[in-house]
Amino acid sequence: MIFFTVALKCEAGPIIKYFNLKQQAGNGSFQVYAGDEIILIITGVGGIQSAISTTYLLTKYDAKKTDILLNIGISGCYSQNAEVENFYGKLFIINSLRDNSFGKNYYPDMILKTALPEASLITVNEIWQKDFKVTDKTNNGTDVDKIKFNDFTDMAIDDNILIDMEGSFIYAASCIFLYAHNIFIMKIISDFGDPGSVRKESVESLISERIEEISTVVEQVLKWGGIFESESPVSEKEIQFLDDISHILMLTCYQRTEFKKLYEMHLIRNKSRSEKDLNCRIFEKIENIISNSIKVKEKKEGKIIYAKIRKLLNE
Amino acid sequence: MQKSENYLMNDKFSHIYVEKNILNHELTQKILLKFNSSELVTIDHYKDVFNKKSQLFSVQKRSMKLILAEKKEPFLYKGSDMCDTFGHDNFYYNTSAMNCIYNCDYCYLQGLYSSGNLVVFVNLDDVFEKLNRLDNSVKTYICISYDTDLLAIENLTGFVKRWIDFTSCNNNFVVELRTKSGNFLLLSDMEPVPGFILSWSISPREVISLYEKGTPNLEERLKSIKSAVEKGWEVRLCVDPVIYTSDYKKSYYEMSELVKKSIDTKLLQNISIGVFRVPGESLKKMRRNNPESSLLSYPFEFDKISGSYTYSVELKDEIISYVKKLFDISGDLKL
Repeated sequence: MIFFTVALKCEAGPIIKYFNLKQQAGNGSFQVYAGDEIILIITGVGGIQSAISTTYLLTKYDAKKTDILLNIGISGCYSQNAEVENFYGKLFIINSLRDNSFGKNYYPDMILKTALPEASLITVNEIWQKDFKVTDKTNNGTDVDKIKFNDFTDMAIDDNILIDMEGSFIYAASCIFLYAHNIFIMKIISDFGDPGSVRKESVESLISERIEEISTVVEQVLKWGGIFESESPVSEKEIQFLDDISHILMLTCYQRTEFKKLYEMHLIRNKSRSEKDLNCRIFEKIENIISNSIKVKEKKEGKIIYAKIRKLLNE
Repeated sequence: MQKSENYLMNDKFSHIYVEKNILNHELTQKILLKFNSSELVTIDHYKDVFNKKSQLFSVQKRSMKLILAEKKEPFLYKGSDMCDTFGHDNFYYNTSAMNCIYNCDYCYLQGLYSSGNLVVFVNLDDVFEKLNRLDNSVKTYICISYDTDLLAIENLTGFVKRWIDFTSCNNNFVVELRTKSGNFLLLSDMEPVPGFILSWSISPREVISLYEKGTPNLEERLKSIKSAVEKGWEVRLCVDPVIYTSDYKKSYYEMSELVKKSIDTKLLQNISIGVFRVPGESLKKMRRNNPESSLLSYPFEFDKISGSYTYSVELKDEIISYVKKLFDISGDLKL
């Protein structure tokens, strides 16, 4: 499953249209849209809102660790690059995030190869303008530049610093549910320290212009998801067989789990052999052990028979 | 996990994370120059990247990133009881790098670290300074390549040469470099230094191809060993860990024959033999990281004395005595 989080309705619009997503009822005040393999939530603006919405989305739709999350949105840009204006409307993938409120840094796993340029992102809790300054309560109430751009720019390494109000919160919330390599924060530059100039229509058009690039990333992550999905070698039919045996032997909860694990490890160890043959032989041997034993009436009798099966699986 | 969609992934060291305080360090600059097309990300502390939440060792191993950091004290760690001290009471190990560019199924690092990325601590000078201040009345045995393979990344760091220089000036240290690398050529301009032991781990071809992903093959390792021995270096051969397979006797026999054919084993300082063993808490993590590994799916037994998972006592004895016989070793070995 691919989860999208976007802060604004106007950011979501082009994505909803492109992937043909339909609004889902039963989500209370959350606006959720879904289609094949994709679920999108409009988080609202700001860190807290976005963290709550992300958590809701991933909980409500039973996210697995291997699912994927893409956060798409607009951002301001701080840059020392003389040709910064050229960045307007460009889509960046974020390689480091700073939560400016708590001073925490996050570094997404940059494993997926995309054609997108990379940038750092600072998530702030107030609308950022040029000359943005706030009072630092921890520093005798004096005015300080809380964003500390110098941390990034003194070294003149990374002159593309983007600023938004959700990114780091969405990343932090997603990390609880998903693997780090499956979380992608992507931002389109909408302004250079003048967010008041950004209109709803221009946001829609910025996202629309980048929708093909977003779609390419989606295609990549769909293939990508499959690489790391580790399927259990134990089939549904085998699980049923193991459950039946566990029931006959009156195994405890611990023994049932151990039984399945031992069976799985046996299959992995012997995977070079023909799968069908191997399973049939093991089934047969386990059934033989059961049929040559007395009918289990209490747990301690089951334990004795289970010990024989355990030995067989450890061979 | 082994599907080959590598085109979807960034290349090894596509990103280099550097702690701000060591950005201008000479070695940092040298490494950055080498990887000038990699993305550079400045960080406050290496743990922000290395210890982050929800990372998967096995996935990161397929697109490793490089983290450059400053090592803070302690610079020396007491050696584990599970390691052979070769008669040295004062046994320590140093960590100039964390993680390894190779990817062996049996490696304890996948149970030790949550990240598959490579950390290099650039401030080796600080380690040497600390060592120079140690009590020099007792000989100290230091393993420098336990949590990594330093020779495999020598062209990146130059650390092995620097350790050799250090050992040549400080004869109260015995330094062991353990490696699977075939990079001995990188040391060919160095003269052998007494007290600096080059220790090569070798495995049969079948084990290398199945369980030692990314490592040089047996022939390449033997070529390096031969060059080192002939040049007069103290060389130790580590047949460790011996991996049990249904036809392990054949594999290890063939390997021993090739070793004897390739190098004069009398010139080796010693041969160390040990079977697969990992600390109790590590095996579960290793299996979770590498659920399809046939090696890790073996039903290992818990050895209460060493606190590790390993083969049964009977199997362990059988393996050890068989491999010892192959290399004409008599007497006890610490396993």
